[in-house]
Amino acid sequence: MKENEPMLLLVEDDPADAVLIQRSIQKVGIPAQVVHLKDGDEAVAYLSAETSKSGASLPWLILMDLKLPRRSGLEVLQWIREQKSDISRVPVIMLSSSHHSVDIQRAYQYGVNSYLVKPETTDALLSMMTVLKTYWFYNNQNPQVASRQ
Amino acid sequence: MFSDADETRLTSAVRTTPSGKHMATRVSTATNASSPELQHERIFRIMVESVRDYAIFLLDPTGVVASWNPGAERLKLYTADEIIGQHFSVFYPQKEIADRKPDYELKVAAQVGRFEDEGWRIRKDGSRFWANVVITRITDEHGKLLGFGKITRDLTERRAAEQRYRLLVDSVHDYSIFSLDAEGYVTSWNSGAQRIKGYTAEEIVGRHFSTFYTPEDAEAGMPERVLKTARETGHFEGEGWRVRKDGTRFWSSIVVTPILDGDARLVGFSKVTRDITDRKKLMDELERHTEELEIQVAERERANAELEAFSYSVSHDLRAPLRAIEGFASALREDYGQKLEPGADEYLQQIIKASTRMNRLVRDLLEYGRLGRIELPATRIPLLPLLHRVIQENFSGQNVVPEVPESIAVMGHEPTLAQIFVNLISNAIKFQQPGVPPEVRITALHSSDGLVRISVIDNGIGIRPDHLARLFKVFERLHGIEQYPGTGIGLAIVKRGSERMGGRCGVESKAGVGSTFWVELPQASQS
Repeated sequence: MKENEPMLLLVEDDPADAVLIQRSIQKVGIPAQVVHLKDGDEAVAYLSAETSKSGASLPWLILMDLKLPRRSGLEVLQWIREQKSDISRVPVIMLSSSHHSVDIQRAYQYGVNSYLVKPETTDALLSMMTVLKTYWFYNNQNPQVASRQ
Repeated sequence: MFSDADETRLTSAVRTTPSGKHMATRVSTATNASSPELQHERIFRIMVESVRDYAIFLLDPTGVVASWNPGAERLKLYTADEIIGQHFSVFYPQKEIADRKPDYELKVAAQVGRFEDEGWRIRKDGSRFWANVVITRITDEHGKLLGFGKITRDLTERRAAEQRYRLLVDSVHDYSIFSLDAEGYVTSWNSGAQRIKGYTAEEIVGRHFSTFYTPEDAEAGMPERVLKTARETGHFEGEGWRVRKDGTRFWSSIVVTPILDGDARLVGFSKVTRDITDRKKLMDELERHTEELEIQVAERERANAELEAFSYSVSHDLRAPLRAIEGFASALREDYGQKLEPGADEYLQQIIKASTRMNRLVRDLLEYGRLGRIELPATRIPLLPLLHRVIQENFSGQNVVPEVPESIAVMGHEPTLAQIFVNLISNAIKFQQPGVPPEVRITALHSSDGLVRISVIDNGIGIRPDHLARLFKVFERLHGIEQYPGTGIGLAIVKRGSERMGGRCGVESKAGVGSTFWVELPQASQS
């Protein structure tokens, strides 16, 4: 991992989706290292370990599926927002194939920053990632990263 | 004829008769005009003479009228001069005179002290009235008959009222109306009671009313409780099973009211019973149906919840692999396009097309299924802003023109109506004639029955009349997939959506000229 390059945490259990999302991240040129985890427990374990280290490197952004094995995206989100440390303020984006209003509303109740429905085509996924890059990596100055740079 | 002294004695005798305590009275022999007793007699005579509602007069032992009061004059129309000295049989109808009724009455009164009767009597002008007559024997202290006191009341009005009442009660067939004495024994019975309970008056009068109760209720003391409640509260009302003469049961509604005499003493009860078995059956049936319905609704709700869960997992799990197929085929084309043999790219494009189509199919089917199950809460939707939004989001840059007055609004579920517009407008654009640029117009009109008809008018290929009926069915397609792509669900969604919102839809078309698809929805009131 390059020094000072922001890290993007991708929590996605579907291997095909994970590959395609990582590919589109690369394609649109999001300036971040991607760490891919496959379920909710892994995500919580990873984040716990990172915060307990000195000189912790927190993710710049967490891109997480809603339906995950063992611990769902919602539960991970809830865990993150309950933490006392800086991690509770990391932006979390839910990327789910569910467009049910119940899922969307609940995610926002639990404090998600954005809820995105997985696009049906590669083209649509690419344009979504472009928007994501522009908003979260250029328009939105993350103080944590800004201070490190 | 009476002497003056006799008359004084008789007047004094009459004094005690109205109280009814003494059947006969011994007459005092005191004749001293200044004695207190005589004083009383004077006062009493004045009183009798002032009574106007009762005829009070004296007869000698043979029945000849000896005195007359204003009440008698008013009732029988004779003046004292006219009648005193005449035999009292002039008050009786011819038939009763022939039957020697007047003599009989005096004979009974002379023997037992008192005679009471009701019957027709004749006035001076020959008219009749219904009279209550009390004849009281008057004797001296040695038991010698001095004459009779006679009190007559006109009961014509009361008798008519009673008769009207009896006729009324008797003509009531749908209600059993009968009376009980204070202990609960039947004392009267109407035709309704006979019809409902099966007993004739002869069979039931004199029997206890607990006969009508089921053995269980009778044993449980229900009849006594009914009378007790009626006695104590002045009223009892209830429903319950009763038994007919033939042993069959019926569900009855009853009202029991106590009957009191002038001194507020209980003399009996009136009881009105209705057979409401049919109503009871109906209510029971209704209750059973309601329960069944509730079970069905609960089952349906569970089935709906299951379907919802099923469609949820379908939308998630079935579409994930589709996304992967399309995604990797696209990635392969883009990332390794140059390295592929000629023809491989064509195959990849077919994979992408097929997966895209399948994805849309799954989405439309889910939408169609959802429309059948979910609630579509109606709100007021101004049409023009919604059309502008739909066109901007889905058909920007295309020739789609809403010609809708700004004031028109409908009642409906906005997301569903938006979906309907998307489906109709994309059809209108899709089915274009080769070489003719598509033009779509949208109009809205109030129709007479409180609906708004929204029409999507195109200049496309049109539809042959024999194909119109199939249009709105799921998976019905009139054209090959290559020529006009689509899932075959779009119009089915339009139909189900508009019907679920309390409206309807239809189409008018001419092959080669164009089609007009319309949706009618309830008109919204002015905001």
